[in-house]
Amino acid sequence: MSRVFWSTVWKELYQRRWSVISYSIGALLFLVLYVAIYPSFQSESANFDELLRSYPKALLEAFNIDQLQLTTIEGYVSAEHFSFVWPLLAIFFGLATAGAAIAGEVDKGTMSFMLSLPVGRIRLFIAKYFSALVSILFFTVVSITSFIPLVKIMNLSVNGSNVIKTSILSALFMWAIYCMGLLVSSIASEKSTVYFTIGGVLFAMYVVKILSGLINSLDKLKYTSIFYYYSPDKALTNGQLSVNALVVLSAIGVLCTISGLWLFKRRDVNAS
Amino acid sequence: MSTVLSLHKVTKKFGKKVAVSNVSVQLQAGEIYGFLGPNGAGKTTTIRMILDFIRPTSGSVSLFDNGNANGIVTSLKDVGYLSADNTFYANWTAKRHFNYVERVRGMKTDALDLARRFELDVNTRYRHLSSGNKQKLSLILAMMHKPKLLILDEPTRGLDPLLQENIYDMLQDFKKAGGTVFMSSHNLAEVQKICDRVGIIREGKLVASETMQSLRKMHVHEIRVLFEKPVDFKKFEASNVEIIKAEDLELLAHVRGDFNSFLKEVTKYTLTDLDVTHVSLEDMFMRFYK
Repeated sequence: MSRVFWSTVWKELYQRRWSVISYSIGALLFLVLYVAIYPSFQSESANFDELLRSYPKALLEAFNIDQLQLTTIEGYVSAEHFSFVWPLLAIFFGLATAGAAIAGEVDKGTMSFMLSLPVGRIRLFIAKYFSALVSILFFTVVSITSFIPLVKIMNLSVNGSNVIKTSILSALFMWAIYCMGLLVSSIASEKSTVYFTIGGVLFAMYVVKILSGLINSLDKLKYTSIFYYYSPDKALTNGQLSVNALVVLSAIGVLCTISGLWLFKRRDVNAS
Repeated sequence: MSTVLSLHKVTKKFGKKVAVSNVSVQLQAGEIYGFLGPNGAGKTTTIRMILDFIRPTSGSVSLFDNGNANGIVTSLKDVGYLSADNTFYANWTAKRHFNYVERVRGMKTDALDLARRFELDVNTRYRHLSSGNKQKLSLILAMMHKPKLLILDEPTRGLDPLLQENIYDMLQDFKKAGGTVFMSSHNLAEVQKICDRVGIIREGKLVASETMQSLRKMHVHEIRVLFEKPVDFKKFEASNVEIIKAEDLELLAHVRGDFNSFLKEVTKYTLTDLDVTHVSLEDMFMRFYK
């Protein structure tokens, strides 16, 4: 890879550094909080387990806590951290990164500066993409993989292989979200277009996932929701990593990336 | 002399709106071309097509005689661009901008010397710079790598007269060193001062493309005549004569090109006063918009 490419990757990482660091530390603090609370929760976990079993299965699935094992730290953290907080942070972070990548630069007017340099649209796109992958990886390692040393510090034990599997699945989920955002960013001229479009699509997918669990006739609709394929609780508590999930999330990522690149190469950049 | 920039029948439509229509321009190495027109005439759209920010609906753009055969990226190595809106990274200092451009272009440049010449503080964040300093930064970024072609979208906008002079000097030096400039402007005085050729764009169409020399040759004279007795003013009508005012004993006419035959006609009568002045380039420019 060329000097131009790495200079641009570095520039992107430098520009996004505070955003990456703050999202990662925010997610890590949540994880620290849950791990720190767990010992005091542990004595009551069996009762909570029982309580949760009385809830409708679809409701628990909606919050990614269908693997009811609150008696273990994996089960507890997956119910607390991965049911809502981590996916929400991952979606915000993925869409913010995607929105800023192209639409944000067009919006601010800096895209014309970039395009006037001998970088080229394809190389610019790939450099932005690569720096986003590094950011996603960093976020995942800090907010999920750090679970292993964190648990050790608290004198608890965790299945390291399951944590790695959860990290892989979560990174793929976040990457797919980023790629969906990047696809819209490639043709949009405002960041907000990315947030509202993909935010709306994800909200619709989330609703579909809940409804498909509640209404039998809508059961098959669950396959159209990205949240159906993202089951970190299964990965963390049982080490289950569905091949279907890996294939679908990868397919979303690859298709959105290729389409985004194609659209960005062809589009008119009108802002300043 | 080699062709540095060629626009061939370039048209750009945004939906039904025709922003630029059938524009053809060729720039030879070492010339400064002024692209004149009011807001919304299509100047910036044309510049964006040259830089491949937007793609022509029809027609072609070629840089450095290669028909973009080596791709726009190769051509951009020898192009410097100043945007009318000059927006850069708000949290970056001028120095960081210079460093990034140097890394991308793979060369050490004289950006810091230019910054000293323009008295630009290179350690201030972009968002804290005044509009004049932002313009200076934009100009340095366009020139720091010693390009062969400068594309400037209103380069002196927002600058004080002293700085404008500084820029005119720099552009003249750039031209003497063999550089070529394509600049858009509203300012006729600056075009008159530094350009070799001028193109006038109106509603997306290039209505005139002349050398400054031929534009001056086309100069119109304003002739004011006071007759001693009433005369029939229709006698003075001719293809190159436009009668502006004909009242009582006074005749005011604009005569394009050679005015001798007009003078011969009017001096057949007894005159009490005769005044011949040049119509300014600005007035001539305005004629293209009527």
